[in-house]
Amino acid sequence: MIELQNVRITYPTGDGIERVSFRVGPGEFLYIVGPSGAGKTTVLKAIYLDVWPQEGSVQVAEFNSLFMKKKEIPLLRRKLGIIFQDFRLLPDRDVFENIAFVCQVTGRRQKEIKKRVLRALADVGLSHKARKMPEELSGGEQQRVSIARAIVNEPYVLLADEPTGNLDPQTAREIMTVLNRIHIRGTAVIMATHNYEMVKQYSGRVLSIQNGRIL
Amino acid sequence: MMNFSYLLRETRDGFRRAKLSFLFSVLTVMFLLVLVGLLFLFFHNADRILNAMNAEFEIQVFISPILDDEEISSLGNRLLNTTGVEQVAFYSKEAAAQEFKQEFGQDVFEILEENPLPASFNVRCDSEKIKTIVAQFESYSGVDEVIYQNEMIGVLGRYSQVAKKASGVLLLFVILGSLLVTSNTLRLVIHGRRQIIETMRLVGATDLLIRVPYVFEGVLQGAFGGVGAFFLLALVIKAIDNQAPGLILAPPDTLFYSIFTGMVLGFFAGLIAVRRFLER
Repeated sequence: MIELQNVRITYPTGDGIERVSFRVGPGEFLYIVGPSGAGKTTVLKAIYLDVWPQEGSVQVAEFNSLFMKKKEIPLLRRKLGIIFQDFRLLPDRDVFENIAFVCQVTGRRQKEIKKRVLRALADVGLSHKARKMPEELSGGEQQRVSIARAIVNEPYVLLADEPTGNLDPQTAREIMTVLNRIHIRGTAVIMATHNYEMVKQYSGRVLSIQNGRIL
Repeated sequence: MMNFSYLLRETRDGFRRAKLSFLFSVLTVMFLLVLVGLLFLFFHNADRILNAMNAEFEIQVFISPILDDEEISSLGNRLLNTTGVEQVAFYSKEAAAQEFKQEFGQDVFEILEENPLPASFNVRCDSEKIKTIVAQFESYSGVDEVIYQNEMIGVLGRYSQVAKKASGVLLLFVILGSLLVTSNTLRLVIHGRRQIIETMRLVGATDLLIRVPYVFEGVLQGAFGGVGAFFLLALVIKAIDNQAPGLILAPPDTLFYSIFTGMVLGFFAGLIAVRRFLER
């Protein structure tokens, strides 16, 4: 379960989010929709505690921002899988290593890592490109690698920040299909997007945000 | 739970992915260690030479001619038991006459038909306490005169102390400078990998897990730099030894100290360098 209660985050520029409250249950698909600069990314950052709430609280599974210590942040993030608009793949490693890396930093055994990575690659349909470097892949493929990386540790919730923002409509649809498939298997998904038209085509709860406030 | 095979692999891969940066860091550590080593060798040898010169200075205590053998022996013991005295050697009238002959080429008996040269004790002592010791000797009965190279010993003693302190301070500054330069070089290397660090943080890697491969890398660079510095220093010492044999002596275990200092330097440089990227 993820719950934000009256969260306020204000950046030095004056932007941010104000009194944001919502709750996401297990297996739910939540879209956070709003124009650029509305505060969608800040909401996601608040969930993985890249920015700490100045007011209110964030609850992710057993972790609550009011009571946890900063050194527990890595443990909270292991409950999440994060997908970014710009993919953020490591350019010096191949597809397999990019995904395996997540398991390695969480201390899994080599044998188990191999099994998990191959399963995640199969889930996103990229088993045949395991030894390709990111630069050799198309945008859609890079985003699928990024999704495989996000799901390899079987996270509690998948956070996707404009995952289709850099992709053409056809590739965007493919990515949405992959995300829905993962959701159907029981993983909760929180997806931030400015593309309301696309959201209408899929099932899920929609939360609109504008000027840092939930409408 | 920390996965050590992962840490070792990351360190090795860090080297593979950035061979040039790694080499540059090793060379930086190496040249800085050569600087530290040269400074250390300079002061180690300056101190050694000063001590050797100090050891050659002696106080001459001339004995009253009326003392018999027993009184001379008793005075010798008294001199030896004085605080700060390290060694006392008796120098008989005959030995003094022999030295006179060697120095002037003539026998003192042939000129004067007797030996007027007094017997003496040659005393080696702690040069820093020389004035007190001389004052004490002068107060002993049976002592006719005390002679020593007053100014020279004082100056040497003083400079020896100043040199020791200066060497400590200079070494500290050079090591501190080396630490800053090495950590800055590593920081540039790590800056190139900040995306990796950022991604590691987002997927739940602890600071320790992020930090350790870079610290390992720093230690490895320090060790290689230490080996390189040792060989460069050996070349410098050999070159100096060819020109002035025996002037410069390297202390034993120089190789061990070079590598050890390099590793310690690399360890702290790695810690400092990666800290900035984890503080965000």
